[in-house]
Amino acid sequence: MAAADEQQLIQHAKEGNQQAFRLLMERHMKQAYVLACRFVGNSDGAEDVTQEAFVKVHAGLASFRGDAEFSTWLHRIVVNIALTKKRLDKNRTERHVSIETVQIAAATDDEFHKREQQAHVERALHELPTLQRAVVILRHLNGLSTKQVSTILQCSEGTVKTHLFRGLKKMRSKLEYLEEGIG
Amino acid sequence: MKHSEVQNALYDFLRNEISEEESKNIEHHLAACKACTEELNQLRYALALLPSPSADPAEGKGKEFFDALALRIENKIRQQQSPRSNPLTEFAEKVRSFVTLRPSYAYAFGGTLVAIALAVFFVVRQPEEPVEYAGKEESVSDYELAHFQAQQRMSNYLQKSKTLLVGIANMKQDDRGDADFTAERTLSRNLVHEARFLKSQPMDERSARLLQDLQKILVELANLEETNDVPNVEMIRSGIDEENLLFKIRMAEASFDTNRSTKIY
Repeated sequence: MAAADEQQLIQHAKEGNQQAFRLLMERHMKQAYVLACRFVGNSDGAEDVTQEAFVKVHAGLASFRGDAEFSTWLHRIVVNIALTKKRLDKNRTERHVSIETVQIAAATDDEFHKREQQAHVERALHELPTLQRAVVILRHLNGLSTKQVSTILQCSEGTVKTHLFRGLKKMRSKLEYLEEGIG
Repeated sequence: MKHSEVQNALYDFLRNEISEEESKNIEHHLAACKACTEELNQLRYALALLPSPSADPAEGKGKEFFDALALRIENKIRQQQSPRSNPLTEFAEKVRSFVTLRPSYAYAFGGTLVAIALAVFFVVRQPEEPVEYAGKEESVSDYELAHFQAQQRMSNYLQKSKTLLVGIANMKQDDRGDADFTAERTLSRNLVHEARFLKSQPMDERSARLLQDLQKILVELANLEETNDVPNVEMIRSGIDEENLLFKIRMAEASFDTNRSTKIY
């Protein structure tokens, strides 16, 4: 079963084979978790998003027609859940930043500077408008192609390019004060 | 190439993810365009700030972590035993996805719906059908119509009472010998019955008092013997005079006439 083709795995899982679904999960779990992490910015939240995403995948597997790749479909579900969670948990972001600060306090000077800068960058990233943030994460951090991103976000490739450019430009202006630190 | 085309392609240009021909076109444009060159520098700076795409947020999370997560997911699926998705849940999911990714469109759509709902609400609340009265059309509410009808009945009541009392007051001495009061009794009983309805309607204090005074006389008249009840008629005549009822009725009628000329009815 481990060597089975993904289409076959999906078909078996659709028919109610729990082992097939488990294998599908194992193949895509890390990918989904990493994407969730980049969207919500913390491990606990990413676990919740991954869990909810696979529960949704299981519930909606019967309606998956295979028009897009399974991973693209999974990405879309993860992105939707993560964005919803992010919006609902907006206040928790501040708590997350304060945890980062505690970790920074225990680090050396170089690490302190690096982590502080990282916290600023992450905050600027999460302050971007929803679609721009999604495009930057999917296209730049997750390394998906423009076409894959456009399929996940259900928009044109031109829109993906425009939002990527605008998102990065906005980050640049938000982080102008860090310019001196860049070599 | 247009500036916007160049700027949208700058990311792919920096990462060498475009064709050689397109790359040359961009280089050619950048050589002559300061604005796009500045955008390229800003983009380069932004990319230097961002975490490296190779940075792994799952670093340190081993197989055990993901196995435990998979187990939790399987348990949750078993707990929920959620029904397979149907077209309705698929539609709800699409709506949720749309709202999440494009909140501005969702707000605009919501605003339009609210505007339509308000417009429908105000159209539905337009005034009632116009009521035709005395040859001219007026828009009146149910309350105004009921009030108008009550006033009409009050006016009729006063007119009939006046006719009855005038007849009694003007009865000649000669007629009283073999008088037949059947018609007066019937009319009085009808008026007593009508007065019960009028009392239940809102009215000014003077009209209420008049109604009360009239009621006493009308009850007396309604209780007359059918024939030769002259002594009682004499008492009623004196009651009419004492209470000055005919004058009060005329005053009340004049008041109604004034109201009709100043109000919509």
